[in-house]
Amino acid sequence: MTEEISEIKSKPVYDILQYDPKSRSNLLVSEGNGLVGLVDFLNGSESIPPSTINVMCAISNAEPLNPSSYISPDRCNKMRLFDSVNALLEDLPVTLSNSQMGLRLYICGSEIFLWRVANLARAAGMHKSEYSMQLIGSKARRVYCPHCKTTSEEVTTDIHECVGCGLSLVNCDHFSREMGAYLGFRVDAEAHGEIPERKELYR
Amino acid sequence: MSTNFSHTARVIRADQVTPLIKHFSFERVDGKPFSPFSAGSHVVIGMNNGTNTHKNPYSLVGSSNNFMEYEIAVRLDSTGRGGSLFMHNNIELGSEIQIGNPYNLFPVYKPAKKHLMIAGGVGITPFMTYIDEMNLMHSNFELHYSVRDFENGAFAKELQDKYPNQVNLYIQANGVMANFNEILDNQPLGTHVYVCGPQQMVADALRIADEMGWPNSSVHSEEFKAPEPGNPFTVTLAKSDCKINVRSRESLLEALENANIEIPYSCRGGACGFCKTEVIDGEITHRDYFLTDAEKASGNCIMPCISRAQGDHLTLNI
Amino acid sequence: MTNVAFKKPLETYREDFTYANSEKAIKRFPFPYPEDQYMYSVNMEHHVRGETGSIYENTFDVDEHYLSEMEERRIVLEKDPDRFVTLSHMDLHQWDVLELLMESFAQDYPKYFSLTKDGDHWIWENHPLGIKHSFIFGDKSTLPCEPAEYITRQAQGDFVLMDQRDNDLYADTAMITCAADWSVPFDLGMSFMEWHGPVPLAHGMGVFERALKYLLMIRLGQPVRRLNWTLTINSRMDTSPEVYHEWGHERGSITPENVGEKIHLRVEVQTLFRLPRSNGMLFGIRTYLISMEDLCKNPLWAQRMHRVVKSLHPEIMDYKGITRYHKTLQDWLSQFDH
Repeated sequence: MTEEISEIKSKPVYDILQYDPKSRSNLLVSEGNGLVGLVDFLNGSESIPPSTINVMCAISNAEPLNPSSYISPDRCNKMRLFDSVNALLEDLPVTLSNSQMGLRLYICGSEIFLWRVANLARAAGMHKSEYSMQLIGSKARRVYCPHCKTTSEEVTTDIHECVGCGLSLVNCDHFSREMGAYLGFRVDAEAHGEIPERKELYR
Repeated sequence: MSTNFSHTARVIRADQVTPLIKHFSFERVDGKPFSPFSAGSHVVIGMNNGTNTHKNPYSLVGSSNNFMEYEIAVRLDSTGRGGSLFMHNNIELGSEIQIGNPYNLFPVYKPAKKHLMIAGGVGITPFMTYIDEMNLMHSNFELHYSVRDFENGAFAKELQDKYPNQVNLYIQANGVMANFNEILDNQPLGTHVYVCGPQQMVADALRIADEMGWPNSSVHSEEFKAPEPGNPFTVTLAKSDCKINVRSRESLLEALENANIEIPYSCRGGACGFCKTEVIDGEITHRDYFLTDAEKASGNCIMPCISRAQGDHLTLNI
Repeated sequence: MTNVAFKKPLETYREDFTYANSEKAIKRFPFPYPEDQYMYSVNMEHHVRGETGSIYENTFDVDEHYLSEMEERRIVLEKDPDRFVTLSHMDLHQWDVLELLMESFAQDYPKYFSLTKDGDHWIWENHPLGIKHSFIFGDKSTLPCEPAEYITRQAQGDFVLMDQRDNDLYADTAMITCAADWSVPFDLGMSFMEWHGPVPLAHGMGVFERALKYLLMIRLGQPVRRLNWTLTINSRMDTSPEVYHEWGHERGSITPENVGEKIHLRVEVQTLFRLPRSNGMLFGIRTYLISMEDLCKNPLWAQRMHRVVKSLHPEIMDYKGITRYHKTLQDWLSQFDH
């Protein structure tokens, strides 16, 4: 545990959504501004037969983009809008349980959203080669506290107070895909009370 | 020091279960149990015909009595290099052979939600142990097994009787062919498909899986690739300062072994990487699945179990 | 026939730290540095039987600290049961490790352990811990807890069971109560590269790529081993992130007077076994602790320790948590180097 954190290879690295030409059906999933990523993806992949494309969008209250204005109905088989991320995430396992091999999932949104969706896909049996992620939106982190085993949501600073035990935690780039969270640890464990100023890093 | 440990075993059962397939059971001569093994494992059987040793890999089809016995099924291949012919004609009750430790190049994908097995002919053999394991783990599985005719379908009756809901038999003599498009269609997410059988069948199944959008990570296959014959060539061993001739129908590995030079090996089919040997001189015809493109292009290593000299000579750094 | 003088009363690895090595334990300690400078390497060798009396004499070493360490494990698990975690597809792996440990102990230490098999009906006896248990191999309901947990509660060291798939290894079951600063359950389910994510420098050197390729090919009956090391303050076994908030401050408590007593060299003897029924791998992490004071009774070790500490790469120092007391340690060790 150190004050300076070296480059950590478990930190996820994101790219733009990659179309897999082998796919038989394509499910596009977004939250908020992630819609932009789906639109770019569709504009860049005009050869994909619309009958193979299904879209699920969670509309964010903060920035209410209306997906119907951006994706025309003839560009996909079905588009469904959800008024919250939770509503979308409740429906997704049902949709996946009715899906077949040959499906590819394209996910676009904040980092926390990406991994919540990816983990539902994995629970349904999908392999990482069957889904693609693009980060558009908040880089706020989920941070796991090993001391009290609570996960704090939406952490935007390098140091924060754990919602479970109140200790000041610094989070590092070591990431657990299963948890969709970064590892935190007590920032002043070696010298109690010496808590550096926090910096906002993950917006 | 040789790392190819094996045990001497004797045949305790040798049954001609179909005209082309012989089923053998072995026990160790030292009376100890064999090692437990994972579904899909193979063992290399070494047999001495008086002049040289045949070493062939065979899938384990089962074991009995808490691993006191190992069972294999051997299909007679009259066009092959003689190993199966030797087993059919010369290995019988009481014969002694060498059995290597199990090694697995075709394991079950543990987290799969469903296991879909496609077998052709003697390709059924690894699936016999798969089904044992899936039974134990209460896994969701389905088998599609193509045989020429019911008589020649090793284990066909046994499988159909035991698992009527999961086993689908396709008997070519009755004009019933497995339709891979149908089999691979409508499978739930998290299904893994495993294919084993004749080369063409495996190629067709893999191609169709690919066309139907199955990702490579969900598709697994095993082919029993035997070394293909080629031009004879000579080999110089730089460190041992000797020269060996490799005949047309023997592999480089076999030629070395017949000259009492031991090289580590496992699958003997170009897949596992164990026999990788450094090459100092000579052009290589690579036929393996293990080396990277860069390694093949560099020309400084070879998989002797399956690859050969392109020209008439190789120098190895052993 | 191996005899072990189990230490009694039990030593502690926390609070009053009564742990201490006998002269015999000091002599057989696995000193990890082949050279005066330390850098990462794959450094694997075959795990073959070593000299009588050495830590490599038997497949899994049982030493004088056995009873104390098992009690320490019990304490950790009582406070935090999540130090043992497993994913649902790992049953075969678990039975594999139970079989491997039971058979090894019974074969190597017949005075202390015995295993009787009648088909699937097994009887296991662990005399030092006063355990006698009949169970059915393969039937979880006949054991008081998960098979891997059951047996690793009776074996020194941490254990990770890995599933081999996708040309990779996944840490899908783990018993970790003496972690050198890594977290289970956080790392549960990670691939080989992912759980080595935080290690500096080694990735750029390609160490992990080569190591993974080598591990994927390990065969039944041909286990390998390597050594890893770090430093710990006090004889604390549990230096996990879970309790870092409890022990972290100890790094700031080092003075020139207490170096010998407080700073411990912590060596992990890591063993890797192919598992027969699951085709997975067992990763055993057997931890040995020795105080600087005891280590430096051996003049060659003392001199080398000084040179290793002096030349240690700053990033490695950082990663191993040594930075805060590095200078004090180096100064103290210099007395042994001429």
